[in-house]
Amino acid sequence: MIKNLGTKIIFVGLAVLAMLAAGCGASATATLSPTLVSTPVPTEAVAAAPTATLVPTAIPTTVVAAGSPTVTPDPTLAPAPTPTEPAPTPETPAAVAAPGIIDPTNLGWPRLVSTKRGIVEITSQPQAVVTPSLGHSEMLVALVDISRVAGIGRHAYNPDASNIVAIADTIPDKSITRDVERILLLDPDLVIVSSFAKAEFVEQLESIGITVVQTQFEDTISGIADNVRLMAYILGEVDRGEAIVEEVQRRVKFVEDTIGAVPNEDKPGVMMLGYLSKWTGGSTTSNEDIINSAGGINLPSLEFEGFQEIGVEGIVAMNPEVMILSADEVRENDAMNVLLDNPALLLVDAINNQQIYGVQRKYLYNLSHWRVRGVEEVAKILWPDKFAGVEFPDFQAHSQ
Amino acid sequence: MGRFSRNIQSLSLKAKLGIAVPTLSALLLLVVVISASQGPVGLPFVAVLGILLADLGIDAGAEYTQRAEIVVNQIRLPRIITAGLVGMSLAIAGTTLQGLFRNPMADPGIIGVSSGGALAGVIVIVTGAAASHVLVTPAAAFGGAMIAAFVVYGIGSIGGRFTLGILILAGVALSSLLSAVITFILLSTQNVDAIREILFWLTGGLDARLWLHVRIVIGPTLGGLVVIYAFARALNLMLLGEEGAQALGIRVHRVRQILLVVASLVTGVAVGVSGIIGFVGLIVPHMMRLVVGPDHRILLPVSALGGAIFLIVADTIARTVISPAELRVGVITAFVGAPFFILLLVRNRRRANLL
Repeated sequence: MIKNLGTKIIFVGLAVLAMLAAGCGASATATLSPTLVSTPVPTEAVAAAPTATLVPTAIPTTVVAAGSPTVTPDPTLAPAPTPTEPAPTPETPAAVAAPGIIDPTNLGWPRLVSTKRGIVEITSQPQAVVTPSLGHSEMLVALVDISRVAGIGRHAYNPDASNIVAIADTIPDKSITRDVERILLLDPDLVIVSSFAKAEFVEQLESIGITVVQTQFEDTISGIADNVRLMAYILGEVDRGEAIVEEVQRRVKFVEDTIGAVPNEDKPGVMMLGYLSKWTGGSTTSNEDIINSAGGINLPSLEFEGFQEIGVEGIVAMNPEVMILSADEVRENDAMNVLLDNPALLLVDAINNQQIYGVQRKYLYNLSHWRVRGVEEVAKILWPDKFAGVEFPDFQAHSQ
Repeated sequence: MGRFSRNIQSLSLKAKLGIAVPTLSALLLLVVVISASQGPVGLPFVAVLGILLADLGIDAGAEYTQRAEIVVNQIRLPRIITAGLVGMSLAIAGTTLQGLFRNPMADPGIIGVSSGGALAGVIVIVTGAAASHVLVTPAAAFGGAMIAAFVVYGIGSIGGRFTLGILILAGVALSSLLSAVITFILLSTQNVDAIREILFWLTGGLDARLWLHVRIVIGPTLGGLVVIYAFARALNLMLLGEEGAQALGIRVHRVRQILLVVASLVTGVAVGVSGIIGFVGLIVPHMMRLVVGPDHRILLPVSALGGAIFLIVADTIARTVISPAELRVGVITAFVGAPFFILLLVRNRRRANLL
């Protein structure tokens, strides 16, 4: 009976979390929490003097550390280019190539894209688009005017998970679930769903005459460009897509250039904990992707692949120099104090040296170009001297 | 195994107790030592042994670091002892309920104990009460387990006459109802952290157990074992049936109530500190019964020891098999327990009608 009860409930629970994960893109930490509370200050911040090559500005609110002083701008520093500069819109390319685009030279209509369910023809530029998953929604509002958004998933309204709450709030009546009738009411001409979407859901949409594209996105920083290009191609916004790709690449390069060439032995060993601080990502995960791009070594990658549950002794064994938690868990579950209060964890350098940080989950666990914000925030934690005074702005939606 | 168990069963009660209890106690000790020496942090066995002996006030002269001492004393031992006590609780509850209801499939779930405890735990997690004090979840789990057990028992005793069939069906029905309520809560709550916490709790686990958890569970478990053991003879007589037991002077109704309360207590507290861990309460009593026979005077203590050994071994596998990552212990109890249980049943099929 225990087994039966547990099995049923676990099955349902996993289904719920799977839905949430699908809604968020691809992460193990799905999202629903509705509150927006300023992140508490969890640990001591390391704030070194700003370097002369960077423009010091007010430190962002996305990463906060206990006792952390805010960095005071130093007006004597010489201004220098920052990643906040708007990118010039490039000319319309002659072709756009990305996995899923059948004919890169065809920039007219109809156009064909390869999807998880086969080749789909998009007959004309979509004017009423629905995106149930958060990752797609974040790209959608960056690529098209809000007037072309017919509906977005409800996770877009969750401030812990979503980077587009402000714009989502302007379309409150268009929040959708995976209810086909609800989507039908919005009269979309295109629905874009993630690879997690159930086959019967997609088939039901197709059976009522709606064009559905089920994407198979690359879940890496390097794959963001292809993901954005494919979305832009589907939506007939190639120019806008190229501008976003250019901005993503410029921001990633800025982080790389600022960190510079650092031998692996000099990179900090990092562990990112999520899911009530019980899970961490090894190789082939977004955790690894972000930490590597931010100039750190993702220690779990040396041990295992994918997301795994990690116990206290596992943390002790890997002994990270820096630990990164989801800021919402720090706030709502007191995760920081739980770690700090465990006497055994004093064996961990990160805890002993107060190198535990909270980063907003919406930057760490997403499938859109917003993951670059996770790289930027983690880079600031790992290399405080090099990024002192640097402000990383959020991406803009098309309508902003 | 078959010959060994037959030889054991042919012995007198005193001889069985004299052989089985010390043997299992020694095995439990060995399992604790081996388990304490295993983990992601590599420690020499000699060092671990030295630390354990030092804990007992014996200076073995072994050299070890403070780091090793903290790993053993602050991480591994609280977890191992909690696992042992939880395994003990679930096994004695299963043994008691299987005897009480004369049903080989009985475990703490059959009278709604698990689902009652689970729902109460879910409610305190969703409302945030669980975060207010470490005792809230075990207390709620115990309360929920008790309420569910008495609702089912009340239904089974309608009209003043206890009917086993009705009780079991009522338990199944109540479990389904309560699990549906849990499912509804899971689907309707907007707090994803609560959903995660519920899922972790429902899948059961012994990660990050502290000495505090040992202190929570040790009293009810050992106390419950003593109380239940005091009714071991009554449980034996109740296997004859209600009327037979009454004829032999057993106050069946009263005994049932007491044993239900105690079984609910030990189950509720175990569930409260570890979440729901399946299979232990079902298979350990059967394993032990196949070895020592159905006499509760021997079955109860060996089941308690067997449950402790089983869950410590399962948890050791869970935390080492993909080290430094971990598996949920419930996965291991099912993976290890189910095939072993089937093997025992096949090899002892003639005696598988145990009650």
